[in-house]
Amino acid sequence: MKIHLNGQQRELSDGSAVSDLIAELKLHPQRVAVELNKQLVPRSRHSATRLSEDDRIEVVTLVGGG
Amino acid sequence: MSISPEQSRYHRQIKFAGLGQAGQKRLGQGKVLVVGVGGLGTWSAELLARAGVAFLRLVDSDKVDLSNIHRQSLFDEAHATAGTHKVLAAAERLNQINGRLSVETAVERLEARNVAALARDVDLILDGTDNFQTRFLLNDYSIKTNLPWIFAGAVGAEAQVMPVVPGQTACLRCLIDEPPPPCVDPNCQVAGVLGPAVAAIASIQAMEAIKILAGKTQAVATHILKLDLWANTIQTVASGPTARRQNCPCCSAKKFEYLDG
Repeated sequence: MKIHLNGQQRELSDGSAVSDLIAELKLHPQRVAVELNKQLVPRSRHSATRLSEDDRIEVVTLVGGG
Repeated sequence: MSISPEQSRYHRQIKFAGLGQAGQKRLGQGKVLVVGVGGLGTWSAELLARAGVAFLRLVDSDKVDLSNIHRQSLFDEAHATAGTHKVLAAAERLNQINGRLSVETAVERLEARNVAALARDVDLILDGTDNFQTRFLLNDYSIKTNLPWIFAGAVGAEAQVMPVVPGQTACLRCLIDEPPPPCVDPNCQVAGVLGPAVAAIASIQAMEAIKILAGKTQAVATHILKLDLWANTIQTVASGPTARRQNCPCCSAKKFEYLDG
């Protein structure tokens, strides 16, 4: 299926969850903020949240220095 | 009509329609707690001092080091040589910039035991910390006491900022459940950091502070903004009212684990 990741089209296996995408991107799940179709998805929901065709997802890695 | 020195000092700000005379007046009464006077805290404190806020309380236990100066305003080589406490060096410079600004300093780390004392009487908290543990504590305190704070962070050439206005925007725990572990990846000292990334995000943090202090809440950003100034990318993630987590342990369930232990 096609999704829109950070404004760009991306192919993803059907039935993938947010957690699968984060693993594919090799990102640290505790360090990312995820917005799916304008809703925040906390880490506790990453594996239960399945992606569908044409979903718009923003994945932002948070940085901690000051 | 004669123009007072105060009015002429802020003339170019008052001329900006979004702020105006009334906005400047409220801004001029604003009191802010700056937690951490490093890369973020020095730049945002300097911008707010120049903008004419009434009061800044600076909290940091560190001393100025030569390795700070590439990304931290307010400090110079003499401070590094003398090992001056950051809050003292910053306060002196801020008062040179604006003699009417009242500055209070605290040479300590903000923790659960002292956050209420340090945040007393302020209108806003600015995040200039270097760790997520303190940010989760600030988030708890903000939601519990209905006091806005502005989350920010920077590492490498990346940085993000998000205003948290209790009851209006999402909070930090809507975004992430728990503090990310320290130093797992690009977050520790070894990752390095470039001055312009810190200064850019601190500028945006100060702009959001001006909006909140001036009472222009409708202009406050309802997203988290992430910049990567090396890769030249800008990302936003919604953090407005509709983005709030219904079962957020902090802003929904009102459990303040980082504050109450």
